[in-house]
Amino acid sequence: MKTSDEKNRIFQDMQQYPEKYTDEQIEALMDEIDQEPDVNAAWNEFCDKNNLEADIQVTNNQTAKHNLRRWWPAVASVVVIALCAVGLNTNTKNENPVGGVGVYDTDVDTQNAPVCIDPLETGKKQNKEIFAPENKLTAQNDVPAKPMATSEDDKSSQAGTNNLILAHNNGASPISSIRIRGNGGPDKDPVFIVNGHQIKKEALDFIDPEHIANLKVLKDDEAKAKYANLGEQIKNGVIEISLKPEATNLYAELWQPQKDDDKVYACGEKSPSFPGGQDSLRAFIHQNTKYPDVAKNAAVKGRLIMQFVVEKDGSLSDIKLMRSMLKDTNGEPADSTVINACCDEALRVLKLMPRWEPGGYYGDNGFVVLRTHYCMPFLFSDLVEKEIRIR
Amino acid sequence: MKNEEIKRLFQQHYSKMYRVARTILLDEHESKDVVSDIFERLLSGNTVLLPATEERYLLTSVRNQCIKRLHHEEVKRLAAESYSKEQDDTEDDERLGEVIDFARQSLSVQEQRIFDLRFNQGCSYEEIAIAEGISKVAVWKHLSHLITIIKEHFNSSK
Repeated sequence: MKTSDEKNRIFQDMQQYPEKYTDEQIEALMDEIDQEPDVNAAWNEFCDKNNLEADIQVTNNQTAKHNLRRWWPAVASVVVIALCAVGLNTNTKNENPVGGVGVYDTDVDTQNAPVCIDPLETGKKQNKEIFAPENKLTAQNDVPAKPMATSEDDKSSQAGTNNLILAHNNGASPISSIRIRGNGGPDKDPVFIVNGHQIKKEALDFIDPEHIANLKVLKDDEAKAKYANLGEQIKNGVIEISLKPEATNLYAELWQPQKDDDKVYACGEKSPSFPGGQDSLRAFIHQNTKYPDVAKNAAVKGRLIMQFVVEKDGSLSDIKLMRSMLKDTNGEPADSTVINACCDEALRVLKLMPRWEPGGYYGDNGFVVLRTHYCMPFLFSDLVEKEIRIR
Repeated sequence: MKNEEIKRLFQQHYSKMYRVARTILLDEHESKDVVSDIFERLLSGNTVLLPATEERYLLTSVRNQCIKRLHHEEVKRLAAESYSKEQDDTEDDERLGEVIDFARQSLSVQEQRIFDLRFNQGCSYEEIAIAEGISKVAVWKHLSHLITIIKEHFNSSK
């Protein structure tokens, strides 16, 4: 019976020099590696090590008995936005107002709401929902998604005549529909004005209700009178939100036009790709990169990592040098003239490239393109003819 | 991350993660360690996994941790022989992505596919053999080759 160390030694040898072994020996090793682990045993060990209960029971903590569930994207609880506007009366939740429009039950059952960590720690122990922004990033480097907290308020918040329905969707967005009147279809969104600036409905998710001083609902004539300049879109009414003074600066970002769309993402669900795939990309670079004389004369070889943005239309922009791994024969880094020459060459090649396929993610309504970063190494060497290993 | 969530992820993805780890590390116990570490980190951290990409995330984490471990072994070995510089761990993560992308370029098309099948989908050797229409031993040789290439690239780019 071989010891574990001996075995590992043989395994490593088999990996480095497979030709030394028979097929049967290799297959035996492969079978061992692919043997299904005992997941339950592993889980029990994990629980022991981390002081978890192996059999998950609902735990009581000081605030509530949980219904443990994933909070994203299938959020099952209700979000209520505090309304403290003039003209809203504190009607009861059970009354059916005019128009047969339902009003949400705002007395949230605090016993069953999940308790989440509030990164905008306000020191209040409330039950809060956390929502992540709609633009999803794949967690490439253990970067947590940035949550933003909105808190539930226990004040009742309905109007007699101004009825806000907050519909909750167990899908991608926390607030998917706000209607002033009726249940309408997709084009019935009212216009949202925050401190005099129009914002998109999606941006509403980012506003902490605690920061709202005042909310007013304008319908029909009132809306038309004040916001005629906005044209057609006010036909579904206008919701005016004013923020508390201390919060004004927090949300300035929201009314920068198209700010979301301008962001460049490090990585979407799908990376941008060169037409024809990696092979074509490699071939293209190989065929077009010329080893600059400056580098040749200085006997400098190595790689340059170039970073650029793949725009939504596939064009490349914002090309810059990310890292230079050019070294001379002594292993010393190359000097700046050489680096610049190689950089220029890389830039030249990048500009020659045809349009890329942009990166992005798969949203509810299909593929959404995003401006995405991409890194590319460029090899500079007189051995530019690299043989592809053929087996 | 909540316990129930960890349990679900563990039970759903442990096998594949372990398989990816063993492909690189070969050793049974080290592989278990790496996978366990990743779950520990998830347990104590704030990372949120999206359902569509959680498997990919987990398998990629395992792969990256294993490669880093190998490198640290290598460094320790060299340190025994000569002076070695301090390793910057945060740089490693950044480099890994680049290095693996670059290493992949020096692989043949088939090897790139095998890389995907093993490391991004967690397929077994048998499954890869069937998918590619080659023998299991051939799969082993391709995988060994590509792991060697990645190791070389990672070690040499420091």
